[in-house]
Amino acid sequence: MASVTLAGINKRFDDVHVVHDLDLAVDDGELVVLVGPSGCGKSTTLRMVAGLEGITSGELRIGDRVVNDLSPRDRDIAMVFQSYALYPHMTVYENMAFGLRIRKMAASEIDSRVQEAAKLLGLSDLLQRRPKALSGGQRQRVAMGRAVVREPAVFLFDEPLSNLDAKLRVAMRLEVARLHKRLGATIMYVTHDQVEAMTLADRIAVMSLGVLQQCASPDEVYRRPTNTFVATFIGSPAMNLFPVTSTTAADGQVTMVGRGIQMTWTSGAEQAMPGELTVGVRPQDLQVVAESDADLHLRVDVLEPLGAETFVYGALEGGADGATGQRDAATQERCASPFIVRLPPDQSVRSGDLLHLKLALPHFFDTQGERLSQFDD
Amino acid sequence: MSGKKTGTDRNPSQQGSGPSWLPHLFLVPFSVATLYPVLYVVKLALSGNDGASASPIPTSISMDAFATVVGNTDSHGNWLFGQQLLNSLVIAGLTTVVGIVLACTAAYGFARFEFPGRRVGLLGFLATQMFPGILTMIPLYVLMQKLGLLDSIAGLTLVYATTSIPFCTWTLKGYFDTLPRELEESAYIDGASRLTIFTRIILPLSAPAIAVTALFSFMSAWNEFVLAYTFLSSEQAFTLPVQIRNYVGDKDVQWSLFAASSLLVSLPVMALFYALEKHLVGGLTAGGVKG
Repeated sequence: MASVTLAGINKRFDDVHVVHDLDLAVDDGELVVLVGPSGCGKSTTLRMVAGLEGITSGELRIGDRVVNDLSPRDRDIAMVFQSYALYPHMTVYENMAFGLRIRKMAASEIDSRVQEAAKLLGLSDLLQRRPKALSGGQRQRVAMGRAVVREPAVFLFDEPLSNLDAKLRVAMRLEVARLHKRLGATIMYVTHDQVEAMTLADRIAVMSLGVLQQCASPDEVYRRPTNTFVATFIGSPAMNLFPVTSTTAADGQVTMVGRGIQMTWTSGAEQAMPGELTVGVRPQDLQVVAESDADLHLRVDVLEPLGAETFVYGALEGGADGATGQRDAATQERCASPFIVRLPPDQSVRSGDLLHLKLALPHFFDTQGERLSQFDD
Repeated sequence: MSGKKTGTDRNPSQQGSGPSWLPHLFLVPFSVATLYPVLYVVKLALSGNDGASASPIPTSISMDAFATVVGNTDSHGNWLFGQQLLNSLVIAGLTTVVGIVLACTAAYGFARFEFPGRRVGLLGFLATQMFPGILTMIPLYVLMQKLGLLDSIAGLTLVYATTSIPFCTWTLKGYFDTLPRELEESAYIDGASRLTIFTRIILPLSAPAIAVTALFSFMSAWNEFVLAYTFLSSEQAFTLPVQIRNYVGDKDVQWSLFAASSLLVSLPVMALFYALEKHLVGGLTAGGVKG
């Protein structure tokens, strides 16, 4: 196994700058998930590591070697594709053995590795089948097996579960986690599914528009998102954002006012809060209270009862109309999304009701959408 | 509940298009019109030209015409039919092999690589298909004469291969375009070279398209008459279509021999169709639906 280091990596396709100054270090044996919406540059980054795309500028190291100019076969990597990329005219055994045969490994060693990987992935009974005779989950296991037998320094997974149905995806997610645990392999894993990212990753690298937004443990990314993009991208349903105007009193108590919002907050920080800011709160960090104790007032629009919980969608209403300061366009757009509250299933709510809500664990962002970490608890 | 299918069990998309015999009203006359010339040739081969009868049903059955055609010899007693059959097989076979090998590599290059002249090259190949082949006959004749390749198997093979490559390249490029690039990328990461990827991944997966293209190439060369008639002059070098023409004289036409040799010439192509049927269907429908 080996580490992977991306230093100042840029990728351009003609005039389109796809990846900007990417710095990312994946430690030996670590599983880092690159996550982000479509077109954020995560797959391009993985393909650059694989050697399937050239690097416009920057340095890529696998272990101690700079591999910018090495061909994929010389990088000691294995890749699992979203489309499985199994050779349709070969059996499962031949698919798994292909890379080893190309490298002219002894037949006995090939057989031993294929059998071992097949056993690890539950493919022993399927070795003589062709890919077309396999289910989606089995095909993806074969694709993983083909990577495993190579015993590469780094595994690359490019949205490997995206073609599977929801149930199979959960099962295969466990399979990947188990594989990582057993092999202790260095893995770079690309997905747009944040659940996959949260459950599998040692660290999550969140990307947007070709820029790395945050790289930290799943817990850190969830609890302390570095900006409003990460705040709304990680966590389902997304974090609510709303603009407020704040006033800090001499005793450190901050009063925040906005559409449908009138709340106070005691800041532990020495400096005063900015006058204009964006507050974020996750749907589960809101509680229905009496009107007099409420920070927020929500007019209910749509209910989503899911059995174990109910998601309530609506718009903030009433209160003073503050927060007139300019925010960056993306944050403004995020603030305009419907407000979501998670309620216990026994809470009786109907469309049109006005809910009075108390807020816990708020996140504070400046007008450019960056986290005001000095005000974290 | 009865398991018997009723009229209402039919696929809705098949319903409401009128009575089931209606299409046959059109199809039967069309089939008869298509088969009539073939049956008439069979009749001529078996019964000879028995006068003005337009019926395709043989009045007598005799294999004499076939025996005469197959037993044809030249003035020195050499077995001409055998020699000409061999000529046709060698020319059509070599044309197919040379054409497919060159077309496969060219098509893969056009399908997968960006290089200066790629677009011009592809359009150039297409342009050659837009002119009648006969236009090239005079320059080809001059070229063959200068190269000393007139009246030779090698010369005709070269001409046929040259004319079939553009079409074969376009057909194969179309198929290669449909093959997922991830397969090659995966093999590349596995350690395969471009040549290994081409021979062990691309070609086996393209078997249906190659079969269709090869059959086209073989048939074109096998049936070609005008160029062969122009470039070949000795009976020993003739291909079978040229020999068939010899049964049509200035004053007399030997219809039964003409018909018998036509049927004999079509047999290898029919056998090839039969052998490649599975691949042909795959090749013709390839890319029609998402796999």
